[in-house]
Amino acid sequence: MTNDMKRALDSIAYDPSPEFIAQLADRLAAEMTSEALPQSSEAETIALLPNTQSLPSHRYRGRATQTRSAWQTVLIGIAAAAVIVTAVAIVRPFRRENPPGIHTGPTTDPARTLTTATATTSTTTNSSSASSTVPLPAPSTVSSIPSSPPSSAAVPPTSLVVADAWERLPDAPLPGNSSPLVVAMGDEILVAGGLGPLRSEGAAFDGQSWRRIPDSPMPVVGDASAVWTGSNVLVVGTDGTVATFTPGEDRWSVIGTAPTPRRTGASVVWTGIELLIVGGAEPNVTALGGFNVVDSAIGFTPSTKQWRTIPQPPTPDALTGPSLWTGTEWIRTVGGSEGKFEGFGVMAAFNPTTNRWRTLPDFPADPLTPTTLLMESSTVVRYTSIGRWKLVDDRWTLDAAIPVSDHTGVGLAWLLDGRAVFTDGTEHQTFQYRRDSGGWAYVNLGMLQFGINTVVQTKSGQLTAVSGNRVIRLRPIVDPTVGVPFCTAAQLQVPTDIGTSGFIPLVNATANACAVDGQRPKDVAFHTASGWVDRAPPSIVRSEGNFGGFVPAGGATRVTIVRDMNAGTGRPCLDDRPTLTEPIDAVRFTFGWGGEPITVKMTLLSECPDLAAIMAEPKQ
Amino acid sequence: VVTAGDPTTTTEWRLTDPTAVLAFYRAHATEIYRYVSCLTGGDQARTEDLVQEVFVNLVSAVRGGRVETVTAGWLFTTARNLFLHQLRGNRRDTARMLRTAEGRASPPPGQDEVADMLVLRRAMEQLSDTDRAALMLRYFDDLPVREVALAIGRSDEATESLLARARRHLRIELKETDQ
Repeated sequence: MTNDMKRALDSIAYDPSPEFIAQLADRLAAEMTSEALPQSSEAETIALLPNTQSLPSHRYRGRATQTRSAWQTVLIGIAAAAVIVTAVAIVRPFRRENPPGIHTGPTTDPARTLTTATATTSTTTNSSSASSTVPLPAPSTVSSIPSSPPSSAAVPPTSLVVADAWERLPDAPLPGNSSPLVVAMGDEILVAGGLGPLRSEGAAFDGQSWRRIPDSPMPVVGDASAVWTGSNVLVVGTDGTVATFTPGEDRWSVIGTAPTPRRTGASVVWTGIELLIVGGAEPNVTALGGFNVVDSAIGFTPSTKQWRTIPQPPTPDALTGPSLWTGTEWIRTVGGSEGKFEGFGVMAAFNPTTNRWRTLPDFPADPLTPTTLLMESSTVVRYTSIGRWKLVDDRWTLDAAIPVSDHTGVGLAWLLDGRAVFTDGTEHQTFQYRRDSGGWAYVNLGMLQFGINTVVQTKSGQLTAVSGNRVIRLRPIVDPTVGVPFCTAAQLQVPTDIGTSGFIPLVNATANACAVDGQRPKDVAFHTASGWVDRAPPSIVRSEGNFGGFVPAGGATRVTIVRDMNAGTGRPCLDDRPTLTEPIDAVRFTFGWGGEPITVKMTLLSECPDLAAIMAEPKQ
Repeated sequence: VVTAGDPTTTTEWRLTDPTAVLAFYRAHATEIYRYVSCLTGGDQARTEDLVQEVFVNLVSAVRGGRVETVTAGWLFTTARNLFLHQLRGNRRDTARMLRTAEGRASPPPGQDEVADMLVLRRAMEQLSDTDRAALMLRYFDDLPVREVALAIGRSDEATESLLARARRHLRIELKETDQ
């Protein structure tokens, strides 16, 4: 019984991530060679150390020598009741960790990779006084290795990201095959194989540079044929061969062969224990260029190297679309580009615990193209060109309308923190919707030089797109002062000697002065505690905006400096202008040629006003 | 299955320099991590913190001259002690309500292996830290009930009761899932 229980307990253990092993090795190496003694409490350490002279023979079943054993089903009988737990002894356990879009259980926090958090950027942050000194967030210090060590290219919090932009990375040292296999391995990316003809060359990218890796033992192509388990990549080859790739060792190992191979188009998910495969297509030898749809589903447990047949899905024979592991169920989509199944709108869910499928309601809107299924706050979501849909209680509801764009449809979608990123149907145009206090703001990320149909999300949340051997990465543009209440206001008395009227500027998020109708005071300068920081033109006055107000000469008007996005477009006033890191405590205006400058002392507001509301106020 | 004579756990390592310590670390980090992950119920953050502490303690002991020759057993024992130390410190915080279902238990019918693993994993995660530790010490480390009781600071009778409750919990989980 005890041995059975050991096997059962060992079967549910988790493997460490390669990043953790490497980080801890670095720390130990540093502590071994440091001048000071290690940080842990010496007294406590002594109390907790085992007595090395009287250690009992430890009976832990080491993994190293279990790797060649076969799994067995174990029934654990305990106490008066006979059998309690059926479990399986583990040979080579695969730690549960989610590839993008997969949520497997309570210890995996979906928010770390996929949750679109409530926007923390706020223009209503309170400040208790009108102090001219606004503390910036202090940099955090890390005294020990964090649970998830940030990579050098870690994604900053959305609250500080004012824009995203694609950056070109070094090309992969590969021939540039079409449809290569692309999968994120923690913060590394594996690219291998591809078509034309079937290939097996591979390379890995660590965020900075590429390294060639051994060829895969079988041809591999893109689509959804690989998953990251947290310690290995599990790949299903075009011939049905299943292999693992271990990035720390750069080693491939064949671990199985699928009883029903699928040349292409299959969809796979990783449950933490089992690889589930559904759909796909095999070449039709009697029809040149044709394919036969494979609609069956199979499961593979790497630790036992056993295959099982999964009941036939209750979905029609059609092409397989995106699928998703929710943590308890495997959701698959079926569809294509013709007829009633257009748009991959037919869905079903499989529960591996009950070994049963259930039918889900058809997706109520035509997504035109196979939009990605995503987990967002433990809820299945799907984006289309009209909004975000949520699957709650087996019903699809339009959760949030998205501003209608002129795109031909939504292709692929990913979630960053507070931002949803898309390609359109052409795979060349990319755009995003940012969730802010006013709803969703549309941001055009630009037309790419090449179409992307494969994007992966690394552990730290970065999006990397691959096309052949060309690679781009979405780079967040950060303003470290976002959220700091820099909003100030003052009354400005317009001089009488400027003619019949004057135009009053407003200042937006990055302290760019935005004037009305292309006109503005001849000169505006801003003062902070550091002194006069800049004067316009050229660097911080922005004249193309439609802000401010028209006031008569000699009149009075309000001047408000609002740290916010440029209202109306959803785009920040960035360009090449500097970002202020201090509140503006004074503004100096010069009206007309030769006019005397007027310096207005600004008062720090306790609450940042809504710039859009100010814009909507009647002009004076 | 590796027996108690497994060379991976009884091989003695002489940790006379940093290279040897790192080699020892690399040889056993994964096993220790897996062991601790069972103790913590798969809590990644706690597991990583504890594993880190085990090896930092090792470095401290080596540098302080208290340890020169060790086996992997030293690591497992230290990991267990650290977990129990943490458990004792946080006992009030970690107490949880356990679902009990007296009289409803029955052996599960033959289910698919994969389904059983999923259920077992979830059931273990739902156990309290104390119950999970008791199960691990009793059935994974082969400690007699007496030593388990000493380790978790309970009487023999209370430990027996606790073990029975934890076992019953696992059984109930399987039963409920099957229904």
